[in-house]
Amino acid sequence: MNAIPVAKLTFKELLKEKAFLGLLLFEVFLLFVSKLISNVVAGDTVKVAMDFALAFFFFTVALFSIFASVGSTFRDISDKVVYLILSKPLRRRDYVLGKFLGVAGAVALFTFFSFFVVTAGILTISSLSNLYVPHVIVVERVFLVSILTCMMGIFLSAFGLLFAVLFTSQILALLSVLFLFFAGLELSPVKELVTSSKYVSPINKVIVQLAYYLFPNFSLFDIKDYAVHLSLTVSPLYFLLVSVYFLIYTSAVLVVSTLLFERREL
Amino acid sequence: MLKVESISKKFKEKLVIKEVTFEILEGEIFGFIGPNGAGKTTTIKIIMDFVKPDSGRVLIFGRPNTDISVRRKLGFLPERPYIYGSITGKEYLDFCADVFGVPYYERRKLFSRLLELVDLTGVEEQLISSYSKGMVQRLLFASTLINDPDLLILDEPMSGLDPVGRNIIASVMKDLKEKGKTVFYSSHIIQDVERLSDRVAVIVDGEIKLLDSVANIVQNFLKGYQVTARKVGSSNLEVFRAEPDELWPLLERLKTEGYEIISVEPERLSLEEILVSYIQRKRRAG
Repeated sequence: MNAIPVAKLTFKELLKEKAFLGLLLFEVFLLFVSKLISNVVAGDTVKVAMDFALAFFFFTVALFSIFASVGSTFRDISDKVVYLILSKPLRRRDYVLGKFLGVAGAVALFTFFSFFVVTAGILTISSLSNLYVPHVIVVERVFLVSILTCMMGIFLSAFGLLFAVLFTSQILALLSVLFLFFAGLELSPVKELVTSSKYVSPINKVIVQLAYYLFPNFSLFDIKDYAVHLSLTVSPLYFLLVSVYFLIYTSAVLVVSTLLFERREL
Repeated sequence: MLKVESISKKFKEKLVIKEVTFEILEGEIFGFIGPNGAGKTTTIKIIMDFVKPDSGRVLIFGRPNTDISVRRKLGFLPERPYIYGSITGKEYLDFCADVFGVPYYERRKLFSRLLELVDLTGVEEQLISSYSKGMVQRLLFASTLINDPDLLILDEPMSGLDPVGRNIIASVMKDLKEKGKTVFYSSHIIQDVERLSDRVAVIVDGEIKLLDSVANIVQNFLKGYQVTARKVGSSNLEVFRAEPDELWPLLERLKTEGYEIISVEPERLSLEEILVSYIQRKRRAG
């Protein structure tokens, strides 16, 4: 498979980037922030700390995915690395797929390390409190959260790649992916609000419903409540459906990115 | 080996490449020269299929340049090349070897041979960020040889290099020619083009204005003649200068004045002088 050398090169490049280690260290700092917040907020301190720690985890993985995909692809194009790569017997689609696989690998590894950082942080926070928290169950649940967070990161990377190929301005591409991410996180509440309101016209409700199903829904990957509230359960079917959604949507985004890149003049 | 047939390209309504046609023959070193903005890099981008021409076509080894199989025997170095500073030289060479399917057991020997060729032995394990600009350029030049290419396309391979680096690249290019390989390269360092190229094409404002062998170009652009003569019976040599079209009248005059002609030497312009005056003339005319 011709995409593999590009994927390996991208993976090695991203792994040695300062952002990789920098964001991991930032995550350690955010764990301390989570602990501090839990001390000043009313409620179960462990649950509050976990809630913040997992939210920070989700956003750090999202940030890494955006910067890795947009940054790396833009660097390739603006610094002419793409000329070195495409002068070899590689098709442009091999480049797009290889780039995506390399970024996806780096995101997976980043999530894997983050999982250890966050889990260690949560266990430390819970052991410092007087409340009883079953550690084994927490670790298992954080692991499941990590799997969906990793999927979210890879999904977001596909959009990062798409916008890096589509736009000629890196800032515009970064802002577009960030907008897409935050909009995609808020889809469910907006849909609930609109569909349940009697003041919204039926046409607008249909438009919002359509947007809900077409727009990338990043909130599907956010199951931190499940890890925090031990009474909640997530069915295996949910994981299966989210995985199918992830696979179909990511493949579609990659196909569009490839078509755009094949037409782009370098 | 490489055939460029009537390619034209417009950018925002401005015609930047106008019906460019040339052919590069097997085993030659072909220099592509022209002033900044003349269209050298755009032509090379079209040849490499990074940019599509509006009309015309490019054939490499007799096949369209869009056929990626032609790249199996092709090496390419872009202008001012860059590669990630966070990887090592060996990691980049490994990438190239992966693409061309070089077996792992052959790599060590191949890499050290290539690095020795460009005087980079022993630095392959260092991060590219620790290399100088010239070292990066030499590493990337070496990497273009990993597949033993029959055709090498180099965009300004000498620019940004010190004289030692330029010499290294030039000697590798000569070695490649001796092995029957073909090299097509652009440059604005005309001394290098003069000493290396068999033929050159001059591009000005997107048009090929001149295409010939270096020897022919220099031959056709005479500055004049230097005539050495002495009076019959005298031992003192005298030197006379004649414009290209004034040689015969001068010789006649010297003969009637009783001179004995010792030698007639043509005064040739360097390729650089020829091209500078040629380009200036064309620009004034155009």
